[in-house]
Amino acid sequence: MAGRHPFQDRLIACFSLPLALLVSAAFLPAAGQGRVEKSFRAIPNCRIRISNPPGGVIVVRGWDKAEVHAVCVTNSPKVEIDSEPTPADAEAEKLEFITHVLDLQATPEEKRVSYELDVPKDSSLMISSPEGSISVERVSGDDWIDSVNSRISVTDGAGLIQVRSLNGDISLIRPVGHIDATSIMGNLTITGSQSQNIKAQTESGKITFDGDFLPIGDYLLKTYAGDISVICPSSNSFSLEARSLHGKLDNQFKLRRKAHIPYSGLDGSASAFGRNNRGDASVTVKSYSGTIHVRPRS
Amino acid sequence: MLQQGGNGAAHQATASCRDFDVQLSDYLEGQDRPAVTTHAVECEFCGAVLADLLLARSASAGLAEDEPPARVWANVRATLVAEGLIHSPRQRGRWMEWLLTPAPAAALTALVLLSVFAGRSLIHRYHQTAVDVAEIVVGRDLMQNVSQMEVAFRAQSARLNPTVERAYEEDLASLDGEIKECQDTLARQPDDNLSREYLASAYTEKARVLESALELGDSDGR
Repeated sequence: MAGRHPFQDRLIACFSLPLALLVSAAFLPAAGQGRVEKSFRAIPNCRIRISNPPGGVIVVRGWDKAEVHAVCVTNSPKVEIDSEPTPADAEAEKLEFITHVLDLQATPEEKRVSYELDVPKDSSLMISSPEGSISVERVSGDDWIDSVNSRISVTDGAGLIQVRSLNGDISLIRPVGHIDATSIMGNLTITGSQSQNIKAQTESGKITFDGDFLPIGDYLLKTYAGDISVICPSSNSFSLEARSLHGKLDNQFKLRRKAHIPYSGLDGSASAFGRNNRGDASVTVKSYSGTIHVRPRS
Repeated sequence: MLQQGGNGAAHQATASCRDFDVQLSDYLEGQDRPAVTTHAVECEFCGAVLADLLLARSASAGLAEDEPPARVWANVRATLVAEGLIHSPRQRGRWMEWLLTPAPAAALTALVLLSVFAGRSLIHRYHQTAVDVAEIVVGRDLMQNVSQMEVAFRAQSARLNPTVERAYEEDLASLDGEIKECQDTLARQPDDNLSREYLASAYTEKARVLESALELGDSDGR
């Protein structure tokens, strides 16, 4: 570079090599780990499947490019990853990432694989991973996510979101599309909802809903023993049917009673039913022995 | 044949309904009559009939036997003594002596054992009622499927990652607890719709959990 002082050249010479080594070390996997980085041209609504039976951390983000960029890290050479685009010689309409265990004697930790994907935002996802964590952001196609212990988080999902984690917590942030979320012992949290169709069910986990009930919406929140908390603006128009057979009910909306009464209440259950405003949306909240809270957002 | 439903609606009996009627008493006596439960699931009217009968059976099994007042026994006894059919209290010592001889003592023991057996039979009947109600609500096919899948899961659960296996075990234990709680409630209150709903839901969930476990056991994630 013209006009550079000789001292600057020496300074650059002294620091460039260690700096380069430091930067490259940051991207090198730890001992025993393997790192695979790939890019695929893809159609905007590409279908992507991740099957990761040993579990691990999975992160999927939607972006505006017509491309899938994947970084996969294996914890040991005892597992390998297959990535297969279809068709192979054009923009991918379907992409599959599958983890294979090569050594059945490997420990659970050695079998772990992590995936980090950037995908076209209109893609649809099918993810199966029993353990670890799964995070999906800004993907507007349909999502199907299945796990046993994973913590699952879906942010700004706009398509049909089918999520199931038997023991892990599920968090749905600003969902717009239809939701079908199920867990046995995990908690379900739905925040900033603009979805018009939600079916959320747990057995002993808690359900928390904080969002809007849209006028043409249909909502079912159901637990066996877990508590349910519903918070929405008092301006929302919905028809509520809330009932807990052996638990308590705390309803802070002043509901107008319907012409007919769906439950007699003679069985000793705690119930609340009626309309808030015009009663447009249908909201059903049920628990066998959990406590139900329904209150307006303050 | 036109029958009147509990809600006043007329019910047109089909050939299956007549078959249900014929087999119902055998079924209630504990014989294997799958057509009864199958039809009870399909036909709302007959399902209600069966539920009512099970309710009546459950209620009668739980009824306490009323003890007549002491004066009734006293009158009966006085009458029997007066008619010479039993003897006065001072002859009771001889009765006791006779009872303590080997043959009557054995007969008395047998009587006691029979009473214990009858008591256990009543308890068994209570549980049987719970299972019967579950069959109507859930359907025998699903119950059998769940049972078969559970056997398969036990056989191959060792192939799963230990933490995943533990999670499945916890889920199944939780669902079994729900099933038992709902069954117990339904044995007392067969018309409890919410318990019926949760019982069916718990079985469906259990089937899904087992299905998931079996699928994962088949994959190479072990």
